[in-house]
Amino acid sequence: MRFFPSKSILTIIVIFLIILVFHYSGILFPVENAAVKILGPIGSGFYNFGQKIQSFFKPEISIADYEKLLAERDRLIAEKAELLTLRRENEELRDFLDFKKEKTFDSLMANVVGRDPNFSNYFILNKGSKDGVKINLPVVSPEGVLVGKILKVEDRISVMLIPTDTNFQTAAAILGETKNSTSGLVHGERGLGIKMEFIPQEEEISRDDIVVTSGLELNMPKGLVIGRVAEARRESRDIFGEATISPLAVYENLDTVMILLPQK
Amino acid sequence: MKKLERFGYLFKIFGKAVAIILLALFQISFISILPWPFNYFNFVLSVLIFIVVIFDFRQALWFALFSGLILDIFSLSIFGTIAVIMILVAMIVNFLFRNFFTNRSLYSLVILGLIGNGIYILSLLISNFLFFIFGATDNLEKFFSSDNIFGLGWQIIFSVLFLAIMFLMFNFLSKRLKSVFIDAG
Repeated sequence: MRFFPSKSILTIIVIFLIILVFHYSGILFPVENAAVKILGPIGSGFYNFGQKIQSFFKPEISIADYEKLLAERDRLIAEKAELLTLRRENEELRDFLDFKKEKTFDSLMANVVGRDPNFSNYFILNKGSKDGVKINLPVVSPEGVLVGKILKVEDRISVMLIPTDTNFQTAAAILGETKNSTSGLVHGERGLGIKMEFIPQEEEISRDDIVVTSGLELNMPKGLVIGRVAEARRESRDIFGEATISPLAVYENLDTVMILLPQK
Repeated sequence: MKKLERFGYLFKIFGKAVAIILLALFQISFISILPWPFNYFNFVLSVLIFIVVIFDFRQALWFALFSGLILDIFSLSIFGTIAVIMILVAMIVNFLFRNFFTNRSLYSLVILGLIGNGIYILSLLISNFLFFIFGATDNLEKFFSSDNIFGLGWQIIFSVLFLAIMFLMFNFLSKRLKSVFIDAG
């Protein structure tokens, strides 16, 4: 019975240790960066191919649902016009009262090139610290919906965590019919859904209210849409209520995202 | 002539390196985006077990090292973790195959596939636990989430299915696995 060591095993172990030392001392970084730069487009190719295959299995929508969506779109167009007018008015009043300008953000476009081999809620993006990406920066879809936060940054790539992951947390607010927005803490639930906790008991929330970021967190702008309230729960014996949030973005279909970089 | 042979050898190595890179990228960019539970299929690990049993242990070690390192570059785990686990799986599967299994049969491959995946999952669990204790990562809770535990079960099922299909295909296409009788007469 021979298990260890053979010449091949020893060679592999020595090579592995050398690579490990070179990696942690930074000597290997140029090689790794070059590898990521070359492999990125190939990874994107595989990713897009996978997306195309997935799209074959997507359920088709019924005519009734399609008509409902058209009606919803028309309603939103009217609402948008109203909001644009209000925004202009708001900006004029802010200028008039000499209010401090809110912090603005630049956006950096990034492509999803894959997911972590062991944890599929971690998306790999093709932009890294050399492009200005930092840990905890928000990531939004092209439609402006919050789809994650940066969790790890390398020179040329970064890893994004989606809101359904257990490790995701952000301060949020519910925009309901009431004048004040309800604040709370949003976090992921084992990769399956999003939950909002610490909602004050006296606040009125109802189904389909919009959940947005409250801006109480560093580098997280106010008003990024996270999802809609699917269910609100409150027990009389508890201090706070909680709500289940249904996301407004399909995280599995993401291929292009925007990383929000704070302006210097 | 010698120059030509050397060129052929280098070309072979280059081809194998490209194949390893493509397989690892296929895992990261294609399989991992498939819907649950298909995204839990560990394609690279299954190929590794296939190489150990059907081909050559030395080649399997190189495959384990380089595919593991590529996966490590794109992984949230501490750099080197996946490579170490892959090498460990190759060594243990090879040891069991050489000492406890008599031939390259479908049953041997399936059982070694089960064991190989089990070792991989167990090593991943131990490494995550150790890194968690030393404060290097906080992936432990994620590892024990219900979808991940069920997903790992699916990983074993898909891997065994893949190995069985690969064995049958290889058996059909190649003479390598066919019995050979020596005729003394």
